[in-house]
Amino acid sequence: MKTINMRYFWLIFLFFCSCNDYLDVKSDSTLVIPKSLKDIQGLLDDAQRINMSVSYPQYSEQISDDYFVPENTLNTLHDNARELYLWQLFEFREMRDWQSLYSIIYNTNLALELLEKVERTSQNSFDWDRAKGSALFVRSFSFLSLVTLHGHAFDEKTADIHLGIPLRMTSDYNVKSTRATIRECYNRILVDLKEASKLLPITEQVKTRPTKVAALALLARTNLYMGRYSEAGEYAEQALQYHSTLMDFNGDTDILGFNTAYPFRQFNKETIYYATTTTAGGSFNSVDRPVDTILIEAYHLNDLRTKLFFNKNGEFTYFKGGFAGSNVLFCGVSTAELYLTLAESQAFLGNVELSLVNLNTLLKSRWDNTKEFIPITAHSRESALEYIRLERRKELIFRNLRWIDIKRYNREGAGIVLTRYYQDKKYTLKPFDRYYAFPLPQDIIEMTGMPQN
Amino acid sequence: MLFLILLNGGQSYSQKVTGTFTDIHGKALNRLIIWYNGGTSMGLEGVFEFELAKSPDTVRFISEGYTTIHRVVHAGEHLKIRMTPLIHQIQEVIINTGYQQLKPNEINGAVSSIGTEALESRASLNILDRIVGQSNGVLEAIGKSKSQTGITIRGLGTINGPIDPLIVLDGFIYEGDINNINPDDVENVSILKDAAAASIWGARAGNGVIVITTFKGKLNQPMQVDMHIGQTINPIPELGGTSFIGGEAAVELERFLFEKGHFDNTIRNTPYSALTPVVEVLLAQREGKIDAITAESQLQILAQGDKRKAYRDAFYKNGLTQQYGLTARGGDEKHAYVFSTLYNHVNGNTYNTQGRLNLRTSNQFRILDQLTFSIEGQYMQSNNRNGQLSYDTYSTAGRKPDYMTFNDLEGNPIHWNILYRSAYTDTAGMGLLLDWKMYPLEDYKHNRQFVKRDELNANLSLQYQPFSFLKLTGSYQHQFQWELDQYISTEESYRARDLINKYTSVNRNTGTLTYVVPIGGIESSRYSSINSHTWRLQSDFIKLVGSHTFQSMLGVEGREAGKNNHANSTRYGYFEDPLTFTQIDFINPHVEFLTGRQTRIGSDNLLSQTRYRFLSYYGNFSYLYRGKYSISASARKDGSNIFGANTNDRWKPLWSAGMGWRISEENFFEVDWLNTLRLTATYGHSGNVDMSKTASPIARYHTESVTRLPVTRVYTVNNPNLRWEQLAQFNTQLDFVLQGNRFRGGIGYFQKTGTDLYGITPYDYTGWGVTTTVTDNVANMKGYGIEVDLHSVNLQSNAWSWDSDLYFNWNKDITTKYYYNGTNTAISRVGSGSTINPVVGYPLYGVAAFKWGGLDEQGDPLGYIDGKPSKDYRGITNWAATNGDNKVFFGSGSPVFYGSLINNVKWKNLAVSFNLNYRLGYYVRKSSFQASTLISNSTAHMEYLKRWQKTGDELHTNIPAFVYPLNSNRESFYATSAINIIKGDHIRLDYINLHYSFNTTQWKRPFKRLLFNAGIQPLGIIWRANKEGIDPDYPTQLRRSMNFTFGLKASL
Repeated sequence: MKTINMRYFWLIFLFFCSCNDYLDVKSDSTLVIPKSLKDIQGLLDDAQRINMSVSYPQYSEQISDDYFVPENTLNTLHDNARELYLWQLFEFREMRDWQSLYSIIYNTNLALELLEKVERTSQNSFDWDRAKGSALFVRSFSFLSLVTLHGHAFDEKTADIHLGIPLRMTSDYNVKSTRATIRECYNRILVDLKEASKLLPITEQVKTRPTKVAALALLARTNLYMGRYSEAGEYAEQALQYHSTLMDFNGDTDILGFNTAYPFRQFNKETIYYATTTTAGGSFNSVDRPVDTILIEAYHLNDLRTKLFFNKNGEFTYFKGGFAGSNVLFCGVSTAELYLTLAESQAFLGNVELSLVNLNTLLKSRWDNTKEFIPITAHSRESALEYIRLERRKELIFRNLRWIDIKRYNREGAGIVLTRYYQDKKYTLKPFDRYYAFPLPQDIIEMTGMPQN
Repeated sequence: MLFLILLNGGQSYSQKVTGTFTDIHGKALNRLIIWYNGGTSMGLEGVFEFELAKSPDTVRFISEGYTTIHRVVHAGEHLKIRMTPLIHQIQEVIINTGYQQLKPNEINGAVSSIGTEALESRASLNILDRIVGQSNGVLEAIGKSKSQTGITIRGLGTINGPIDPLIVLDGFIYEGDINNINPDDVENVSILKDAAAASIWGARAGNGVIVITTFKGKLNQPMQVDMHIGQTINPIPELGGTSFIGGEAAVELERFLFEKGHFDNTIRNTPYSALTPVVEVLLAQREGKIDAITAESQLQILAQGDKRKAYRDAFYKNGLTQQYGLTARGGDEKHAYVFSTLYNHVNGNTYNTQGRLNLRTSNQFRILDQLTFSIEGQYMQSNNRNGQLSYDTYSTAGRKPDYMTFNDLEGNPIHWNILYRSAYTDTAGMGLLLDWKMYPLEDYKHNRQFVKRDELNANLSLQYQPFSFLKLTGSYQHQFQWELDQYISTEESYRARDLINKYTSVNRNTGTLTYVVPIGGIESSRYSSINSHTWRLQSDFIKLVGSHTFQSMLGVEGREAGKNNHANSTRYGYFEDPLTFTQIDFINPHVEFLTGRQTRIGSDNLLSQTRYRFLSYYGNFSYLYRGKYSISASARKDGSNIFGANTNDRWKPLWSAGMGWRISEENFFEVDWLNTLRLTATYGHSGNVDMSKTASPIARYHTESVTRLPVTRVYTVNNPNLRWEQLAQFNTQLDFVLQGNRFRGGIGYFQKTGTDLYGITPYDYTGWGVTTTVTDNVANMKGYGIEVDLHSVNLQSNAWSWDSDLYFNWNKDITTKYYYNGTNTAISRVGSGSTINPVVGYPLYGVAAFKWGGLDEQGDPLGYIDGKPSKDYRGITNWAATNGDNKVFFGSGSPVFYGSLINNVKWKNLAVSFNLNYRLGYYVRKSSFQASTLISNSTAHMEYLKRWQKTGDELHTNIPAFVYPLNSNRESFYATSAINIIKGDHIRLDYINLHYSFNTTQWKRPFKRLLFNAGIQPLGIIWRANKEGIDPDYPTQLRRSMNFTFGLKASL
């Protein structure tokens, strides 16, 4: 009996002395459960995910009309890419763009949730505000990217009927996704961006971090998409007050040379917020895309963009790649976009003269300074608007902005019809076609029961 | 009860009987049970003593594995009991659970044991090979994506978790490479299969445990020296398998693609990009550089190329594995020892080499009668070196056409264009750059890879036995491993030249070069170490009181396993003599010479450190009454330092309970022909929480390569809804031995029920997006099966003997509930059988396929929509998802019936054994022709040659026409249609072994034992259900090469 008691005593002793501390050692030194302000900022500084992979859905470029694919090249593509090019594909599963953008949104939601548990003090107020502003900005940028692809253009008449995207505001993936209306989507973006513009600093050490200027520029972009021209103009003007630098295409330090394959330096001085989208998805690559031949003819001979943006190879002209310094597509925010948004707003509201001044400021920086600059002149609001919109397309080519522009021009009655040919068959996309509200991933629809477009 | 026993013991008439008990060779046996009128007693370690209640009395002496002796005994006698084994082929079976050594009737769980003789009967130089087929419930997990050891025990108890069994070596979990264990050091192997295993070994034992015990020295044993030499010849393996269409077909294919304009985009947009030799010829012809006749003759020459032959001739040879072992063991009164060394050398098929040296020692010291100390150590050193090129290492222009060779017609070595056209690179750098070509027959000489590993294991153990019924043991194990992995590409290598050229800029006016990557080689090295400590305190209790045997064990175990990556770096401008390298700029982007892109050279410097800790409390208890009835129970609690887990989730409880009944010992049991009959049953329960899933997000820090800012990246998403995975197992077993001991065996039934099992499941990835699947509680499953093993001595005479072992397994598993309710589940039912597909009511590895409607007159495959033949392939998939009647479910992708039949025939000193393996009742998806690999890679399944080519072909072929451009829906329909499903049933002759034991007793010199053995494995299929002649377990191979092993063993 005595030995048995001893034995239990011995074991009980062991139990208490060892179990608690022994298992408190960290199993992997590189792991962390994000909590601190530094951890939160780290979530928002994940530039590879947030700024450099897919910050904007690549589909919006692939289904746009600034390029075409010759038939024998089209034959080498996967049939899904081919059907997408011809606006035929409706069923997407495991959609990469959706994944990438919502993974960015997850980071911002997690950052916002964690921030609530970090007290804002006088010492950390700058970092705290920046983290909150960044999260709100990045989430808005992603929401806007998604809603411009998957939703019809914002229209006061239909904004409460047409559905946009799920506005996810939590990091818990068990919460079911539901689609918000177009108005709810745009309102959320506006509210968050306004708050972000108050929290963010005016400048940042890297272009992958959002700034107050970027928030104002995105407010201008959002209002332009909504058809609220006076607000769009106001925000563009505010942003330009902080940052109005344009590169002189004749020889800026951020331009490597006319004959280089990728002439623009990454993070050049026109970049306000840096973001890119990949071009590899769906087997597209920018060098594979001859630029639309009519569009190419719209560039003036003395326009240096013909040399810095494009490369003529045989019968076709190809895009060299933009501000990313490689063949990925830049789709962030640049100063030129602000000038164009300001000009378009002013023209739309009838201020033709002022709008052309802003437009010509931009164009002059693109002009060969050994040749005489021919400013654009217009006598009516309509012709000014037409010039500005053509220049917008020429300047912001392959920025993933054309697709939403087609939608909003059609909303105003432009009646743009897109056409493509394959195997002697003509494919057209009429205004307000179903494809303008691009289908949501079919597997997500099946899992959540959300209505498909 | 206790009172009665004491009372009984008190009736002493001093009728003492003493004695010794041994086997027929006079060797003391472990344990003896003595039954006499009015009591039971036990003898230990060869001696016994008891008191008779009446004299004389007929006493029964019982020892497991030996014939029971009935003998009339008088008081005061001193007896010498010699026990005869039940049957001389059956060794005394010791079951080693790693914590305890038990005899079969002391354990109620499902356990198989493989003894020395069975292990020795196989010639293989690898311990796993010697286990498979020698026991029930162990199945080779062929073609299953989740297996690492290549075997599973008793099917599956989990959907997502690992399926490998736990390997235990000499009482401690073994995390090393199982191939490092010297098979001739192994004394026995126990395989624990049921819930009792998990409650002994903890959470990781859910898939069974293989307990390997090595030879130990024994006290009072003269020194014995064993030597062995083994050689295995591994002939050149088959290259390419079914994926080979031949040079001629590959040339024709590329000509077809060229004419369709498939390469035009590359030619126009990236003129520097490599083209295959055929495309180069066709392009030269199109550009008018050569005429049609020249082009045609060049193509004809190319078509004669044979890639398989080229690789085989240049880089392959027969492999040879050599093994030399020397072991000495023995002991005196106080000390027992084993010293063993093993040297293993592998000459691989591609001239790769591996040398490995094992040194091992094991020592037991009997310090006092009650105190034993033991120390064991093992040191292992291995050196691996890469060989030449293995098949299909290189591609040209991203393609691997079958006509590629390494020599031209005159036999001169040629170069391959890997990424760039030589026509372009020759001129692009104005002749100033390094040679930008790749010479396959030369290049391997300039790339060297070494892996050096040192490993040290040390075990210490102290055993104290203060009373005959109590034993206390403290043990400690330290394991240390240090590894250097080095890869050197010298400055002559293509890898180094390519990288240097890629970032070199040429000033076209002055001709000066600016290097970003300096001239020289590239050296990458990685140092890592593994460090583990395990300690254990255990008490064992055994007490015999009258007819009652109590046995229990209690223990606590702690374990820490750490891994460090000390340095992981790549150096450029590397020269070995004198040893130098140059720092380069990893931070700024550099312009690439050919593409003009601005890219960075990644720095792969990485540090990591992990330290996993585990803490367990365990215990078991058993009670045996009169050797007839037994009950047992065991429980265990495992804790670990899972990162991010709540304190509650760190601990896993496990328990099991069992009973045994030796029916043949009952008085009412009067079946003459049945000697032994024993029934056992166990039930156990375990819970499991996925280590890597928590309610909090888990992130990792790194520095962003472009912005140089710290980044927090979430790797494990927060899931607050996660529940524990639960597994219950029931097991029952009936063992019997027939009169005359010529026939014995057992029948077992098991059932596994898993609830809330973890599985990889699609989820609404709007919520996280980084992956499209997460691990979550997804399903419930049930598995059950029957195991039968029969052992018979068919023939026994002076010169001849013949015995057989038959193993039969039947097992099934089905998903009983699946939580994910998307409509997509139906699609997943078109499973290939190689990955787990949980669909309610179907096996975990289910094989299903689209109904096959033959080919139409255009050579297109037909499926069904709404019962009508259709070519709308996307529609067929959608119909399958919504309606489903256009699919056929075949059955399990894992064998439902499997097992083996081993026959041993002995004539005098010569023994021959062979194993017939059978795997029945399952289906396999065979590999088939895929146009996508043809278009992207110029190579495809050889079925391609028999495809539909003209109208009428549909009457005698089922292989669709090749269409361009690719129709991927058509392609995946064909691949997953019923035409490509074959029956997997087959019988295989696994091995033949020959064993000759020299009669050394007449020899003057010096061998006590001398054995020669030889073996061939695998011999191939002798019957299969499919008519295509496909090996269902290796459907991409045409033939498997046999290995030949020879060995010589000697004992001094």
